[in-house]
Amino acid sequence: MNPEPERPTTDSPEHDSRRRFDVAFVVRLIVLAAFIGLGTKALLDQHLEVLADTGPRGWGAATTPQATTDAYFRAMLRDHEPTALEELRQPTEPLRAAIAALPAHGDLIFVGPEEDSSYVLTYLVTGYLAWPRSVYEAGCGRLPGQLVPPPSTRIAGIIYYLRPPPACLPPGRRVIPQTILVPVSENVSWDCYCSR
Amino acid sequence: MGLLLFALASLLLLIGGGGVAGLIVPRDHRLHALEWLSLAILCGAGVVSMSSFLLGWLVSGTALRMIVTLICLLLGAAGIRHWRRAGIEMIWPKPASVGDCVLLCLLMLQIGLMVWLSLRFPMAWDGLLNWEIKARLASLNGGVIPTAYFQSKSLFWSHPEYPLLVPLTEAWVYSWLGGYHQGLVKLVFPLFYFAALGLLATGSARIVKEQRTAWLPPLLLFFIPLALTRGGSVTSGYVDFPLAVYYLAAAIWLAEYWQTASPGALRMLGIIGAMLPWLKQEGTILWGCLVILAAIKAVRQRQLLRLWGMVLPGACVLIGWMLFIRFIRAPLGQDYMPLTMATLKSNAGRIPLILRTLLTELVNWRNWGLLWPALLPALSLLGKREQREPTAALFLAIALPLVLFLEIYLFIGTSNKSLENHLDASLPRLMLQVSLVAVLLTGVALSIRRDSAG
Repeated sequence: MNPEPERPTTDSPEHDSRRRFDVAFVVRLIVLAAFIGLGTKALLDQHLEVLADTGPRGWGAATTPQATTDAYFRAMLRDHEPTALEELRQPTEPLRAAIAALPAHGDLIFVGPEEDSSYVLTYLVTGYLAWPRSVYEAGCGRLPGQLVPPPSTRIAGIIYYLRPPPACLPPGRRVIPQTILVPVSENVSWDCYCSR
Repeated sequence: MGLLLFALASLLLLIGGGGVAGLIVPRDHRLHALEWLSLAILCGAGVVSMSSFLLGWLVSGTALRMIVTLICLLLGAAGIRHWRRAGIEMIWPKPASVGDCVLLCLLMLQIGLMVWLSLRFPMAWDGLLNWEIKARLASLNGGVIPTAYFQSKSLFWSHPEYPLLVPLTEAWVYSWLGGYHQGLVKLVFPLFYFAALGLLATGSARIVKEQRTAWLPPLLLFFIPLALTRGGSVTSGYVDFPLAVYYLAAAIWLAEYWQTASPGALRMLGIIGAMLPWLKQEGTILWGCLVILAAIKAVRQRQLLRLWGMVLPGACVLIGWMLFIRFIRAPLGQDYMPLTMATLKSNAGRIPLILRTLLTELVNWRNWGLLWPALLPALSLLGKREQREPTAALFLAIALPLVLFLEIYLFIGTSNKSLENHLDASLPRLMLQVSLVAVLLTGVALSIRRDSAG
């Protein structure tokens, strides 16, 4: 009969090593549980379940060719004209098509209130959609517009965002809610854009 | 149909990248299937974007797509041939226990959830307006970004001077889809997420010198909220997460080089690191850090000549892109003050604010969960082990870029935006770029088994 293996005594080096190991193991478990717990709480707090709704009033982006720009415009509509959300599921396309239908070789001017929180994004998205046309901005707020066209630039249209066109221009056409496109055949004085 | 075409574009990318991975991996290296797949994604995006950029000067449209397809297929064939001749051994992932099976199932669930989140989140501002815009313009111009864009003053806000790995990978997908598609293109980013999981699983196994795949480190990635949502994340369409994945891959080879001083590891580090400046401007800083850290080991090992071989690919990419930007006269950002000692001295008063913001961000659990606070205990758990060299390499690969990133804020201009705003907007994203290495270290420390501890 084999003798029973000798067990480490409480003051043996082997016992010390095992105790150290057990402490390390417990530390690992605690850190791991805290890591997973805190990460889960941070994720749950984001309420990602709202993304499941890709309907007109939902926050989730649909898998469409203009999913992101549509989501941006929908966020703008939520703030400024929520009733339009139902009627206009994909707001990007009418704006893109209206810009594309302008006479070739002409740039755009984007006019809107710079103090509005959606102004910058809508201007940038218009520039994104308008290529190869350039889009210059005339922010009619506290700050001057950032991008003024060179004097020789041929302007094909002016986009009025969150404000109506002034009397010095034709009335234009509402392409999406809060956005009016005014086609122009000759350049207008820069002072006109922000006048009432 | 769109999904099928996306799958085809991804498959070709994987074939090309898999071929490159097969060609460059060291002969004595036992390649894990997951690592190979991860490297295939990273190298594939590099091959597709670089060949689209270079060939785009000669051809466009269907011809460009077919030539890039041919390059992918040829690289795939060359990789397989080399692989067979070199006798490189492939390790297949085999869950060794019920626990491993559970972790593997959780990882599958994680990937599925990331795909869903990517589809449902709209891209964040920079994802669309700095990065995807380039892919869209290429898509409207036969797969080639129009020269006029690089000189455009009206689209200066989209940073035409930014490098093109991710935009031209997106453009590759668009070329197969037949046009731009903001919805499906977001599926490119879960590929990088998958690559991150693969690298975390196999990288940690290599650090602790185990054959078994470590399934815990990749699982931890899901509990870093900033990697999943918000600006910089997988779902945002920003380049920060892909940059973090490339950096992780390079850092793993850096750790291997510190551990083994193997020339093959240095070569892999050089090739993967070379893609960093092709992703984003901060990629140049990350690449520079890798060069410094590799140099520390190379000097000790008297391998200076080999170090030049590591530096060369990245230097070619970086200098090539800088020359292109100057040649084409792209408008350069005016975000920085002159990089002089005078600027440094005059802005030294910013240091307390910068450090305070860093400390606040390190414990910001809504962005990071427990990642940064857990890193120190993790290092102490690893400190007594034989993995000191790779651990030190990985720790320095986190700390050195962070220090350099903080230094940037001493030179940043504040005419348009306050320093606080700059820090709030960009510091978390800069930290994200090195965070996967922190996940790796933490994961390794937390997943060491009883039989390998001591």
